Amino acid sequence: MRSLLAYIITRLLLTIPMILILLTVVFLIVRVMPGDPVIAMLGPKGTPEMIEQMRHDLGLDKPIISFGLDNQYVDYLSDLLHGDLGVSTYYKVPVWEKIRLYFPATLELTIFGLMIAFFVGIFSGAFAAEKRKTVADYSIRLYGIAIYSIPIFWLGLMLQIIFGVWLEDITGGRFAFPIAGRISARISPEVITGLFVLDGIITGSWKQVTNSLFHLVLPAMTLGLVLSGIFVRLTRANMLDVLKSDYILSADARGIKRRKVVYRHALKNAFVPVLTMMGLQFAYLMAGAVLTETTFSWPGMGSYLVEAVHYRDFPAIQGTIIFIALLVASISLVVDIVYAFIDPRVRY
Amino acid sequence: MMGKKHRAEWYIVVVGGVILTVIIFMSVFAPFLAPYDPLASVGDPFSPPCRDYIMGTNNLGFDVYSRILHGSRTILLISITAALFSATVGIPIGLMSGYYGGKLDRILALVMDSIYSFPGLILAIVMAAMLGPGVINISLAIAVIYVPTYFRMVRGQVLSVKEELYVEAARSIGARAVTVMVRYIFPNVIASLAVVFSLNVADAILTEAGLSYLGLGLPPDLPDWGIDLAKGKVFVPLGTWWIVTFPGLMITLVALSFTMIGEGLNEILNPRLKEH
Amino acid sequence: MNEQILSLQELSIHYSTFDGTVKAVDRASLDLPTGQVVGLVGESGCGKSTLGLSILRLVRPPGGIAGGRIVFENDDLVTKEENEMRAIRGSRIAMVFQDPMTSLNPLIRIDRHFLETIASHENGVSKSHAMERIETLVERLGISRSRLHEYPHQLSGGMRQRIMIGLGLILNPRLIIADEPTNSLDVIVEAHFLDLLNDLKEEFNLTILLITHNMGIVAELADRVAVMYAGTIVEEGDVYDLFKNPMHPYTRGLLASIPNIKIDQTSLYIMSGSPPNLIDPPTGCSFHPRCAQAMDICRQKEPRGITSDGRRVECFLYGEGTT
Repeated sequence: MRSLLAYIITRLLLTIPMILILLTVVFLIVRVMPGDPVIAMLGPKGTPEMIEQMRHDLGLDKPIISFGLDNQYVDYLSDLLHGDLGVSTYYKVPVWEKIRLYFPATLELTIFGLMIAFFVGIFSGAFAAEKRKTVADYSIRLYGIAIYSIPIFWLGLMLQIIFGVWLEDITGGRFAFPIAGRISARISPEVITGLFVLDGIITGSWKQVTNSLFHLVLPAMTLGLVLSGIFVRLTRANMLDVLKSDYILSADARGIKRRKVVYRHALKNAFVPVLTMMGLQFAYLMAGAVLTETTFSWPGMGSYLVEAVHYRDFPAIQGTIIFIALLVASISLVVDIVYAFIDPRVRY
Repeated sequence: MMGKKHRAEWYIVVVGGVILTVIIFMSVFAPFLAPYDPLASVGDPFSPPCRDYIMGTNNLGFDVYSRILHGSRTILLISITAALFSATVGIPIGLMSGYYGGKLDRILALVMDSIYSFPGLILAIVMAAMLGPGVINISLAIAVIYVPTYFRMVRGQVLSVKEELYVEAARSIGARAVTVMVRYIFPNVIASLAVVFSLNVADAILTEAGLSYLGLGLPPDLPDWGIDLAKGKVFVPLGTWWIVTFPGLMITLVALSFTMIGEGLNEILNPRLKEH
Repeated sequence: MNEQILSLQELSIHYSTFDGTVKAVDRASLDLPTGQVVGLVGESGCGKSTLGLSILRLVRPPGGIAGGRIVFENDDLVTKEENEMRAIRGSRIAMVFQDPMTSLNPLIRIDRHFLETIASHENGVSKSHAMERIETLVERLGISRSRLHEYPHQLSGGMRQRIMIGLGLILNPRLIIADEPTNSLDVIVEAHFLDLLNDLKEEFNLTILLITHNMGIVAELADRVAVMYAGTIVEEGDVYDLFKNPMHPYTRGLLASIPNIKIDQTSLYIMSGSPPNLIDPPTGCSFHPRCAQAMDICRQKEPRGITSDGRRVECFLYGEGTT
């Protein structure tokens, strides 16, 4: 256990500079890039006095960096240490408030998306490995490569067309999957954690649970399918190795049904690396979430970011990016630690 | 065992190459192939695919097919430019950082790793937002994301080759650092570079499409598949599937062709242990 | 009671590879008399493991049965459907493999290994009933029942191998195929193991096909011996007779290679040459390039169907054969 602790400490120490670097990069992008944010924010109506005033309010009249402590960079970092992500210029509320409001939606979407990616990925990967060198195998492998080339927002739109619009036409207007929002307008959800499905379960509101699940289907599938590609390939590769092992031969020799051998014995041994890969895919997941949310009018952090960009709400942009950076760094840290826990060899 | 062509892998590269060639042909000859002006309303809005408009018209009456043809130029131009930017910056920095080593190298590596671990699209969104619209701007925004990719790959190669004897030998006869880097180390890198570049362009294509889908980075009068998707998205409930289906399909095909070339080359150059 | 529980008749197993067809087993014939232990010996790569696997039809592509019959209790296993074979595996014919560490699933407890085997062949057996049977068997093999809840890596090598036998015996099969069962065991554990096998043979009325390159354990355990070379059986007979009076030149070489503590040896005897390429084997008798007594006919015809003094020996030195 001592080596695990040492590893955790080392890894933490490494994370801090990385976060600092990311924060600095964000700082640089927002401050140093050409284009004056204040002018952009105020628009053509801004008088020179207003511009000066806003500059001062936002602390933008200080030097960006200097030897002393009175510069923008230090202000920026100290604000962050106090948990202050700035105030949204468009909504006039602290950015943090907005993030707290929108984050659970993204969380719920990504959880379901990951689950779909995982299950689709490992079962197709296992199936392909078992049916090696058949048409099914080649098709699944092609899927694994191709699915990632599909723009996630296009997949979303196509799913909307097929399962939202056409399905409705085919069933005479009776059934279709919702293509926008988290929950029907006529239901006002009980909110505890912000995860509607979970909240529905907690409060015993069956309607809330089913309705939000229905709304989750298409967006989660969009996110999940695109991400599943890499899980398919990874599982298939692992399964091919595992299927060659002695204990699988041994299980066959004892007359255990092939399906059990493949999906119970073999898959059990093959899927652990996929779990850790899930953690590593978190960055892609975030990017995917942004595009999925805009396609499905899903009120999550991705939509908020895009909105902030359109309204030129720089504090909001900055705040959201910082939040995402911290999130990605923490997930990566947790995944590495969990992996070191499972596989002792990594610690050395 | 020499000369055994890995048939499946060559198929993949060839198919990818063929698709790409068709698309390049499309983009080069777009003005001649397009039956209509992509920026003008030429028919009734929302016409489904028919003889006059083989891919239908969009909400403003523009011919989808003409926009597809012209759009190929935009996307190819931007993504290849971005990839070239990244390579031009990332490769030399990677070479030098790996070769000279030391504190600067470690700091650079850390910086690059940090950027690499961050979701690229989101970084591009912020950069595009700050830089404003424009073809150069969007190429730059996308390019920044991939610099770490080249940096890491090249630096990794440099580190592994640096200790080889023939490099020592070259240095002992007084070869200048640049010479050593260019003549001895770089050639080892080239094969992997082709793979990374292909996959990079594929990714850049998807990023560019994503950015323009979000309404960032491009002037509104440039025909672009991402913009078409963004504009067409609202009309999905109307059942006008052709407005969004074709542009998205094209994005997929171009990205797929580069991916196939890249992955196929990868299998050929770095064959995995033979499967049984 | 059948005289032979298993009869391999001109069995051939070929692997198709990029470089050509490998004839891993080439028209091998072997009878296993009921209730006896038959040792199948040969160098590494002679095809004996493949032969063992093929009895249970476990040879997977790119390998496959290319001809011949496997007659088990009057049934030709070559013609059986996969699901019929699955029913036979583990319950009527069982196989014990050489490395028990890798032959047991590291993520699954020992008792589950057994329970699953039972459940795959018998319907409606209650768990407690099954556990009773398992515990009885395991204790008979000298392992305390409390170990059943553990994972494979928690047991010693000798124990794991006994668990493997247990898995083979749990459904009371008629025939056990043991492929190099003592390879991973040290000599002391090996000795115990052989004693155990001997006892079990009597108790469970087993027929055992003992596949090995270790002549020592064959001498201890087997009633009959079959010598395999380049995919085919070159000599076969009673174990005492064969050891005392080996007839085929290859068998002679094999036995001469065993260091003998009673003789004053300054160097080990090594047979000249090396095993043949199974894609492109020598013409005629596959041993002739290494045989000091090779005759012209050996280069031209394959020796088959030759017997001498009640011993099957595929060599033209002893007869003319039926090729």
